[in-house]
Amino acid sequence: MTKKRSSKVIHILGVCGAGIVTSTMLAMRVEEVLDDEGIRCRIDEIRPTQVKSTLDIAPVDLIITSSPIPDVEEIKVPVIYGHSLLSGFGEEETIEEIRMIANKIIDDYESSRKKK
Amino acid sequence: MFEMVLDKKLVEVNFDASNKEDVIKLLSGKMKKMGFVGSGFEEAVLQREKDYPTGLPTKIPVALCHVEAEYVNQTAMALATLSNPVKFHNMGDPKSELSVEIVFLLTILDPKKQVVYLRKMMEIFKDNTLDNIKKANSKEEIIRILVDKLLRVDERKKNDQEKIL
Repeated sequence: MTKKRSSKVIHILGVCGAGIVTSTMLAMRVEEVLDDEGIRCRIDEIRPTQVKSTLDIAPVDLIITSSPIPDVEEIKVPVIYGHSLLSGFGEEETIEEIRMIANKIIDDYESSRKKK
Repeated sequence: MFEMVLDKKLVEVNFDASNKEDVIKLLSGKMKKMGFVGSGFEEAVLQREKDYPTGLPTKIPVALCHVEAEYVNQTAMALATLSNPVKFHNMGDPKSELSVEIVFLLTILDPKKQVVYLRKMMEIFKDNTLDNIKKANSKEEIIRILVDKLLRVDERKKNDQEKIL
């Protein structure tokens, strides 16, 4: 286990059509990537139609999806399309994107904590 | 029962399909014969494929058909290699189509308890296993490849699974 660089746990939604197989696969890959970065995360797996209602009730930092999400342009949380993590096709770019966003979330969290 | 069933009765080699519906019907029928799925399964797979396509642009393009657990009695995997590719829509870009050569049909009761298998499925997509499956000439050979790839659980992965259980 890599040393954790922040107490912040990033809350991620893994989204796929049935909210079962693909989202679980995506979640596993994201956990691996973030673990290597020393970042904690919690991933919930849901269907695209559940995204909106979930955002209403839970603080979410990041969405990773293999399926189009309805009204995605209204979503304020970063959305990453993660199908490349399954196919291997364009995987490196997606991993880099996840790393960048997750690290920014941690940096923002840490700097806002220092201000307090 | 959380083991994934791999059985040659769930495999078809060089199936001659004219479209994705043919393949989904064939594989659903195999699952049904084994008693692994309930009524409405085939329709649910077809509908889900329409709503949320599962084609993946892997080295050899595949489709990874699956549905919600409510239709499923047993975690298992069926697959067909195709003599001619058929079109599936691309999971990541549903407007585009892929010429799929291997179709997987997964019945998963609880993905949290199948993490080891799902992780290994992802590895299969990326290494040369798809080539080997495509080249295989018998159901027995395909099962041998899959058992070798999916059921050999090494220690680190086992720990991961226990953590999740």
